[in-house]
Amino acid sequence: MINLMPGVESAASALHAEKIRMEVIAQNIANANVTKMADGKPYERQVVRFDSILSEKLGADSQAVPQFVKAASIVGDGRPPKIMFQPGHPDANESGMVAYPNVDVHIEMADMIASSRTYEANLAVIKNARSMALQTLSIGHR
Amino acid sequence: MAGFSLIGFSSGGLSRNLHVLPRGTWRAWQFLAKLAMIEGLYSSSSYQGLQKMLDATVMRHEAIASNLANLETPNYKRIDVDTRFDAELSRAIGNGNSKDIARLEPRMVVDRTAIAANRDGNTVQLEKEMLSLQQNSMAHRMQTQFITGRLMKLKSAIQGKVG
Repeated sequence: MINLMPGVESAASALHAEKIRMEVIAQNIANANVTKMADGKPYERQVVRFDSILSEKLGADSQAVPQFVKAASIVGDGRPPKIMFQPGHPDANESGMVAYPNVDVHIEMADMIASSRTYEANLAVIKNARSMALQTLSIGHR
Repeated sequence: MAGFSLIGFSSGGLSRNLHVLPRGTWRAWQFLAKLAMIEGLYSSSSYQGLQKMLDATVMRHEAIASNLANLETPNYKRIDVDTRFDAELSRAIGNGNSKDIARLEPRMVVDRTAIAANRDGNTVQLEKEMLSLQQNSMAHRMQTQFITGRLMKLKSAIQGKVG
């Protein structure tokens, strides 16, 4: 198939990866106060790890090829839960301490802004590719 | 860019020899002449140079798309069209050698001059990429309009009237 719109595959893979990141951020914010999961521990903040994959178009004469991106894995943050003194809480231990998730809503909001900026940048690539394709198709017309 | 000539075929060479032709071959001769002229247009060095520039522009767009897609991938190194291509192409266009131009192909290479802004080893900078995306888009517009302009001139030459 001819490639009329250059680069859209890379940009589309990034849009998908950012969508996954946005979902994980939403999940973190939504669970910011969950003190008891099914395993009895508080919710643990999740982070997305991005990875790039080579495009299939391995040019023989080129040293570099366009790379796609994918959300390779979603892993736990690993930091300890926040311990707070709240004696009346149903999940408080004998000394009245409650373990809250290690989610910081401010960090999540900052991540969300970064994610939506990346999304916008990739949308701009697709928009440009579209207008380039239209111009290419209008070669020979005034 | 300064070296571009307009539509690169000369007129006058054909009509001088017409009187020696037998009557029946006139149409065939006319057809061949027209073909030859159009061939001349497409193989002229500036037209081929434009094609190569357009190829490089499309390839650069792919590179920018890849860079922006991997904006946050750790250890990703930004890629770009080999900067030597532009210099070689402008030299070949300046020489007016269409064989040299035809041999040139844009290549995508890892940009070794870019340095990582932070510790994750990623060398992509959003602002720079957006800027070169816009520049590349404008370059593409200019190149397609150049090609359109040349084709339009040919068309008006064929029709014998303007517009």
